[in-house]
Amino acid sequence: MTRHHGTDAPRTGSPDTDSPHTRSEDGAPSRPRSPLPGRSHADDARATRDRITASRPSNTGSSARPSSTPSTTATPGTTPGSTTTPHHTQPWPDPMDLQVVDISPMNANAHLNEAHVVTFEDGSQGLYKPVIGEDTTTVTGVPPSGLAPREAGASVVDQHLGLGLTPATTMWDGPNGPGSLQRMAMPNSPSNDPGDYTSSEQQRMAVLDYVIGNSDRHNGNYLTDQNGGVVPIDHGYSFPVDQDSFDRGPIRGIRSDFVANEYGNYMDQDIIDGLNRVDSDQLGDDLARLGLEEPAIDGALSRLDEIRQNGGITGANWPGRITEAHPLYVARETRP
Amino acid sequence: MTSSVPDKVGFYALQADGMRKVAVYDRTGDGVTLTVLDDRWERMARGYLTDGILLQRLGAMVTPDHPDLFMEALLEPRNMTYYDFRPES
Repeated sequence: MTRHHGTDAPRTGSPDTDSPHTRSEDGAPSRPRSPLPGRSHADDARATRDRITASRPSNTGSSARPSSTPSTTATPGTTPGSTTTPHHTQPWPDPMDLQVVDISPMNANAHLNEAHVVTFEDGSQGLYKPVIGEDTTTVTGVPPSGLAPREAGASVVDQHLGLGLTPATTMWDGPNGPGSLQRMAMPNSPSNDPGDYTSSEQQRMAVLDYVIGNSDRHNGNYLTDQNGGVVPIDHGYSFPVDQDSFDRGPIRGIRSDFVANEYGNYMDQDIIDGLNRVDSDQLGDDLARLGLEEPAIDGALSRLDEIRQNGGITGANWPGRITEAHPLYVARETRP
Repeated sequence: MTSSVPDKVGFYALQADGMRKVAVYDRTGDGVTLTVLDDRWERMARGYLTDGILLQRLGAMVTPDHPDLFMEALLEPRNMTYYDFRPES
């Protein structure tokens, strides 16, 4: 895997002098820290996460994959539709005109938003979340366009950035009106510890969560596919219009272990190269077609630019908090 | 508010054959115990015990140190499509 050790990517600040010599637990050299203005708190956040992990009586569900195991997901810039592309990332037909064979409400006790499992004539299945069934009152600061365009927007970002992670999601005029339709990720197993996925997957998840401004990446909102790849889901609380969007008291801002872990690190050059090939104007147009608010789109494009310009996540273009999934562990409180 | 909180809550995961129960939380006199029915979900189910869970009503993370609030938080609706918590007592 290509490691970025060059001096050309970072454009601000001065390098962290001891970071090139840091090593991960397995002895492999870790990626150098990026030159952030002021001290990064990512190490503190990582340390607290390690303490939590150590306090767990059992962690049998998380077994690390060998680093030699190739990722089953596409890396930025790879050709869509390659044999390694998971089925759930394959786009829906456009227009989405498959006939519905069956639709079953999930009737889940603990679901905030209405959801249905839809089976189509070709045997494919999707999760349909109609706009009419969205709860926009329990969580403070849900922008007017609601959750469905955010679910679809995460998929649009994933596709433009070539991340190859998010189940294909589109807006769909279903039996209960317009809503989001996301390919089912089946079979699946639960989320692993973020550190158990490949380095490339961890970085691509960080890119996705940071660019979409995800406030809800906890361990229930990503799965593991049958090949061990990470599958991000449930992106309704993304694309904030400002730092107060989706305020849930202790949970606010960008909330993602992947972002917190990558905050202040250089990303691999092949990932940055892939991001540099993204047509931001086209991405913005495609997000606007979903009905997302202009500040939500501008924010996403600005955070994408930040990663491209600095070679990693610095927080320069996000004024709010960055936390791990557990909101007590804050990587960056607010922009200095 | 917490008087109607059940003593038993099932934790379900969405699989190809529908929602499948993978763990159970029981409120006992000593706190909250966890019974894991499918080992693959043990890390996740146990994580709520050790890390806590957001109780939106109070705007705070709660742990089994406060059993009633913890059981209430499990059942509070949230944005987590592939999982469900169901009262079972």
